[in-house]
Amino acid sequence: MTFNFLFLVAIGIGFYTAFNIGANDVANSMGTSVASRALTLRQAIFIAGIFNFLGAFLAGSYVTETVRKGIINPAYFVGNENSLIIGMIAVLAGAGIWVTVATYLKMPVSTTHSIIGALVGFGLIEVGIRGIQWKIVLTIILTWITSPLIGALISYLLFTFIQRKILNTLNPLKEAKKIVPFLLVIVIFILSMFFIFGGLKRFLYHFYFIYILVISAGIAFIAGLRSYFSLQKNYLRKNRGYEKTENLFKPLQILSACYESFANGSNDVANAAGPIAAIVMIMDTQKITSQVPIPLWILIFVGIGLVTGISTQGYRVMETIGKKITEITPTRGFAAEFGAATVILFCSRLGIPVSTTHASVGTVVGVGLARGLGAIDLRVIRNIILSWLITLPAAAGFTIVIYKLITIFI
Amino acid sequence: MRNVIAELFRKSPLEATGAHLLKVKECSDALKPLIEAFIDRDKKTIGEQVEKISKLEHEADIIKNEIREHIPYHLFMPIDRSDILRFLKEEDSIADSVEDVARLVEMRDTTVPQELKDNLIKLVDKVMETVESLRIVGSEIKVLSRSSFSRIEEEKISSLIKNIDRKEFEADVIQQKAAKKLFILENKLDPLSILLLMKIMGEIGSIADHAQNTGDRLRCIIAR
Repeated sequence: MTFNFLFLVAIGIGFYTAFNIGANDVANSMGTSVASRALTLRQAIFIAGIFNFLGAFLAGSYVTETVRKGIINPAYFVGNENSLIIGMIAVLAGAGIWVTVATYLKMPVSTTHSIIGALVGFGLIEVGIRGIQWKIVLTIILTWITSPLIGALISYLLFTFIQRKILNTLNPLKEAKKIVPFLLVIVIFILSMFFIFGGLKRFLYHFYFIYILVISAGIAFIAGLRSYFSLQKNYLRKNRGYEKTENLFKPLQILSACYESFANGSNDVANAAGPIAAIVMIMDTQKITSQVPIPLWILIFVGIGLVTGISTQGYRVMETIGKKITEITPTRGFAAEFGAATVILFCSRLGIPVSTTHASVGTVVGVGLARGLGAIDLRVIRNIILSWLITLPAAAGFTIVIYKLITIFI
Repeated sequence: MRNVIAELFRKSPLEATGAHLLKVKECSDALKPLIEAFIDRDKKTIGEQVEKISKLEHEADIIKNEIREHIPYHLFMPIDRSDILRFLKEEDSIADSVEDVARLVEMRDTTVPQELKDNLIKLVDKVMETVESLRIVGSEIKVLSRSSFSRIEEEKISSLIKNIDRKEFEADVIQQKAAKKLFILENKLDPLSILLLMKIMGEIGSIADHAQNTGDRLRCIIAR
């Protein structure tokens, strides 16, 4: 009876966490698209909702598995399953409280970092140092440092490529008509690969990866050809204002926004779904080390949480961005979004939880390094690093306190 | 709700200089009516123009200070911080010099000798052309920034800056001729008039100098 109640509490906090993530992260993936006028606010919310959900559903299981059993070694809880259940609730609550407190203190904290800090805190207090899979934790922390840097590098290189091939030429519009279809092929190829792969993995157990590659390449190639011919048909004119060139990048930016939303969903879903999955799977099977895949409904449930956050809070967050950022153009937005999405999705596939916000910040700076932005406030980066350092002990501390409180009362 | 991405972006100071340049140009546009009134000894118009110039100069100062305040050290920009501050300072000196001319003109009731009138008008026209050349360059700055410092745009601006240099040189020649003429007339004029006319012509010439220097500063910004 108590555990049913605790389970409801876990579900509730999990939904709250997903809601907050959705509300915050929609701006990372969609803010620049709204600012560059590639999408209206309404369209952005709609696309973000759909693709976040698809990302959570189709590619969210890897990171969820890591959060569920990668940080804390579940083997230590055999015969003591209930404390793991309580612990996971404490993890959700501790991370949730820390994120709420930090938001109140105006600190740019990451939910992902909070969850990992909370897991480590719980593992340490219940099992001790040996209870944590330090190799995985260190890999994750290392990725937190490298992912914004790699994202910045990708965006820098991509934007430099666009500069060299398009912006630095005598007739940018003409060059853009050649390059845009090529970039389109790349984005569609990656997206459809993850779509088909994620979909097939869910519903079919036997398939050959090469088929997916061929089908995705085919779809991407056809889309690229279509875009190439429809662009060539248009009357070629010299245009110095760069505006028409930028306009050609709007569809690409919309695609890269879908891509980033998908990537965000696939990584962020784990913050709520991981602990919930741990609880549900123990309650269902009473076996901690089970190898069955994560129940679909959890990913769907958390996905709905994300979408609720996006659709109810997204307007407020993005409206300010749309008004404030006038510097972002479709080429710059595309370069930033593509870099962030690629890094995040790659981490998702490897099962590494990363901060999607930090990746986005890194890629914006990458575009800035290529002289793509008028001015970037470096204080933001300093604040991020400071909050980053505080988050691990703070989230761990809150989790330990809550865990102790629950165990006293039960 | 705070958003990190929104806070990351700051307004481009380079693009903001466009408004300052327009104000400076507006200020220097009052130079022609001022000098015409000076030649005609129309005290009323002189007074009006002086007032207009000092008002515009003040407004330019306000824009300049606003831009300066928005370039703190923790901004990361595609251009050097000190380069843009120097550029802004030089651009602002144009308005300062226009105001100095206005003050000199207002200071003393001086007759411009008939023989010098043409030279003076010619000098003013050339100086105005110099400032206009700078304005044309200035209107390209936003395009440069929007194109993410496209090399084509950089080359275009570089060649436009050469126009400023040429006009400034021409203004120098005109100024030198006018000075020589003034001393040919030295026996007909009282020393104080000569002193004042020399000063006025010198100050008008320095407007063109500042315009040229502003162009030079822009060269530094681009050459990075």
